[in-house]
Amino acid sequence: MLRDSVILLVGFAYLGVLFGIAYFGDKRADAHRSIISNPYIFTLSIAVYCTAWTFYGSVGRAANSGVGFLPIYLGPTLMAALWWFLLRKIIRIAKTQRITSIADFIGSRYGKSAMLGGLVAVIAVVGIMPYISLQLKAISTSYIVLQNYPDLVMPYESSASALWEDTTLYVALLLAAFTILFGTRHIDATERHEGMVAAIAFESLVKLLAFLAVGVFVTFGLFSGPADLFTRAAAVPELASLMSFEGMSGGYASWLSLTFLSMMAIMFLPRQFQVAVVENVNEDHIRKAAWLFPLYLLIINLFVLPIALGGHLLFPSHTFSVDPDTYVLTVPMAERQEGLTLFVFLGGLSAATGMVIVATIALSTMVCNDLVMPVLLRIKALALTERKDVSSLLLGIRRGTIIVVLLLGYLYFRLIGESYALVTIGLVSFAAAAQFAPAILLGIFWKGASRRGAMAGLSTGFVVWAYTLLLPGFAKSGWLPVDFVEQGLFGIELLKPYALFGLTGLDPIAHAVFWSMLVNVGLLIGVSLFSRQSAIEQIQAAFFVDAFRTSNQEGQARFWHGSTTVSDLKGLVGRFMGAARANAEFATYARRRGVDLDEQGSADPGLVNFAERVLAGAIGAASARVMVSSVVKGEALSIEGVMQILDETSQVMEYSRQLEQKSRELEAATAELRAANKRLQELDRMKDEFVSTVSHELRTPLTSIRAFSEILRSDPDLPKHKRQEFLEIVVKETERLTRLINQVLDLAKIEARHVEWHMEDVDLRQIIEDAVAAVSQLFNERKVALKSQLPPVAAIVNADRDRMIQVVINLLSNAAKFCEPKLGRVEVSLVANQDKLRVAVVDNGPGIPSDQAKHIFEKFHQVADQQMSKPRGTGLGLAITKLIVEHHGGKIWVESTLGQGSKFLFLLPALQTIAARAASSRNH
Amino acid sequence: MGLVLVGVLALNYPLLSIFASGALLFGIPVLYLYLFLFWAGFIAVAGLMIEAEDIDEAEAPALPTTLTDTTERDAQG
Repeated sequence: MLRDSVILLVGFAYLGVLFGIAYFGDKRADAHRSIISNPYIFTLSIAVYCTAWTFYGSVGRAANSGVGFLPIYLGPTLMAALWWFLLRKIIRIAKTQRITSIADFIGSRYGKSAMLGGLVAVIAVVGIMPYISLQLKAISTSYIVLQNYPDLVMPYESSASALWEDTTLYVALLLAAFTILFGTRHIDATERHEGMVAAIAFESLVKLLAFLAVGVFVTFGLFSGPADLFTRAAAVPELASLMSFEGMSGGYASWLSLTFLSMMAIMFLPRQFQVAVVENVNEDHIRKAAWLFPLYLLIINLFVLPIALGGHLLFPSHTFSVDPDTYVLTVPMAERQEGLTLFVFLGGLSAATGMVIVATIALSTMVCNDLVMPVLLRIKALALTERKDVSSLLLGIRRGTIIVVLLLGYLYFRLIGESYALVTIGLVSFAAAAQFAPAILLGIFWKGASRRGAMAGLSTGFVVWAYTLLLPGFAKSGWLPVDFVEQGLFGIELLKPYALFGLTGLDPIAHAVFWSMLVNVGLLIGVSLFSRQSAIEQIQAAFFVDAFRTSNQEGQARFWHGSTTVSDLKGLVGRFMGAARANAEFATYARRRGVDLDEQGSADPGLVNFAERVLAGAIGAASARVMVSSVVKGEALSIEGVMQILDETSQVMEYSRQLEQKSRELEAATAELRAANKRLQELDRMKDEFVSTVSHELRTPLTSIRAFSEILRSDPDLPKHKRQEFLEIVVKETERLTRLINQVLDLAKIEARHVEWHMEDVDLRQIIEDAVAAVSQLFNERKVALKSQLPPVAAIVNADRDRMIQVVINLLSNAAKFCEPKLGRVEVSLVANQDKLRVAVVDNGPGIPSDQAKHIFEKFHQVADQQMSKPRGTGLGLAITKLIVEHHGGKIWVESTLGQGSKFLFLLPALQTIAARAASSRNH
Repeated sequence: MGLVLVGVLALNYPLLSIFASGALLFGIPVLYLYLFLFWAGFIAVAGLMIEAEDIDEAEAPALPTTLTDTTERDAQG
């Protein structure tokens, strides 16, 4: 016999144990020895996903639709495989930005928007309310069923109790008290509740064991193993359908939509976000949780179908009317298993209280930080920014929120809860949580997602969700006229909530998911593409998307450009968190940075940023921004700051740009090398040519010397004058050979820059006169007239005297050579103009054909002479002349008309030009 | 990522429909058997893969900072 008193005693004793665990957990956390800092507790705390809905509702759903309960657990399994990439990134962002709720996360991502955070908070409260009421319903149902032990009485058969007799109300208030005690002990910058997590983990263990106990009892106690149970069930036609896919209402589309919903729910239900992100101690715990948590789900689901089938077999529908949602409890009851029944009751209580506690804490943080505070801060009359101590106000708001949320949940349960099965209520909440998914997932991978886009997507998605799921629920409970469900709003067929725009063939959940996600994702992307992001949005987007790259928190320091004092900042933080905690925070900061804050009068940007993050943990990112900007004077965010932040993220781009440049430089160097190589090959070719030409030129005089010598040797009887003539030729050719060799050596020396140049300031007139004197004998011999025309003033150049004389002699002797004896006239002249000196040697010889004029300065070039087969020069004189002139920075060329003589000219820079050139070359 | 795709494919139409008949194997429904066996296999593979995953060296430094951050604060609270 289970009396009320026993049930209540056990129930309260259990809550007492939870209390003890939570207290212990908090104490250990305070003592710096966390008991929750391991992946197993982390996994168990995530198992808060399994609520009373799992505990009682899964069996109910399995009893109606066979495997239909499974997508709710297969989805999280699939998602968990992505945790290492996805959840870890979200945790990293949340830790860096001190994010404490899902509303804060979305608000922060989109430019610390208070509007968006508020919207998310509203959606969360409205969306989760049914879920909380579901837990209350489960507790009250199980209690009523248990009360009538051992009779099987369904709750709706018992008379409706008055409000003050309703145990559910007391359960709600008790849970509120529990949550307040452990969820809002003090305002903390991280919003972590170690004691609560420890209690939740313990509850996860209890509910798992309780459910396994029933499962084992049914499968192996009432039947002899699973094979026996299934075989007997298969014999009953209506149960056989539960073992195939036929039982699944809505078919594969529904299956897919449930899988999707649960994938989103495991990440974005506010309570899942709370345990998996906010309460996470160490990112590395994800590694184990990613496979341990799915394993937990698998184990807790193993006996769902056996219990459902067993229940059906025990209570055939025509003899008993037992709600399948209560099979977990009623099967042991029917078998008079008192202990097991109580254990199951505790398991259900664990599942329900765990969810309620975490969800209300998450909601209270959200409502306080993202809904109430931003509004209060904006009401100037309250002058909240001036208040001395706001931390007690914060705590008050949170505690109030917890009570309000639980009472709202209770209200929902009293008014509407009765008309729904557990599972359906839960799915409505899942669909609401799924609305957060696009804004978060796109937000952490796509920088382009903008605040306007998120706003449009979220709000429209929420409206569609409310219209297609929430309102029809109200209508079914008689709170709204049912007409709009059946005929559509205003009687318009296309607006029927369960068949929007004529879409039929989907169950209500799949239908709502399809439409709400379509508009949500569509608007988020569409509006983002066509809207401009503000500076703060771009910065936040960069931080979120590049969370792993810019986890260096220093970067944020650049946000704040104004100035404030350390004491102002400390005072501000103290108002929200209490002076003692503020002091501790600042001391931690000072110790980590190795700075003495007391010595610093004004706060550096890093400290301002630190204060903002600490505050963000306590009152949400958007409010923290408002508060900090109230004490920081000057511009909060400069465009340079934005550019610097953007720079940081584009550093990678910069690297690749530098690489590109490097490779371009390399290419250029390669091209230069190639050109140099080509030039070398050219020079090599020229050298070969030169050598062959030289050998040829040397052979010509040698051949004639040899020929005449041989004649002299073989013919001793040669007449004397002949002999004399031949010897003359040999001597001449020998002289020519010597000259040629000298010139070749000279040329080679100049080209190889082995010549020593004795540069000095000389008068060009003097040089010309010396040269004229040197060649006068030659001119006399050839009977060629030579005239010089020199200016009266000195023409000073910086030059090698002997070489310059050589140049003039070369030109003069060349002219003499080609002039007709007696008729020849040669004139040398010097003209000085501005910075140039021009020397001209004019003759009246045969002239040079114009096509040869440009080749005449090339080595071994001989002007072809039809009359004489023997060349008159070595072909090197002009080449040497050209080299010498060019060495002096001058230029040489020839002007000539065939038959009318030629005019050789060269220009030399006058002294001041040379001086300038020398000066510049010295600088190199 | 690839693993998740495999999971989505295997746990949905049409692959799922192969096992949807309701027949019994060793006295256990084939659909039930398939779902749970695949589930267990999936967990095993995912576990092996994720446990082998390394924390990127470049990402690592932020982790200790965050940790000391929290513990120090809690110690003073």
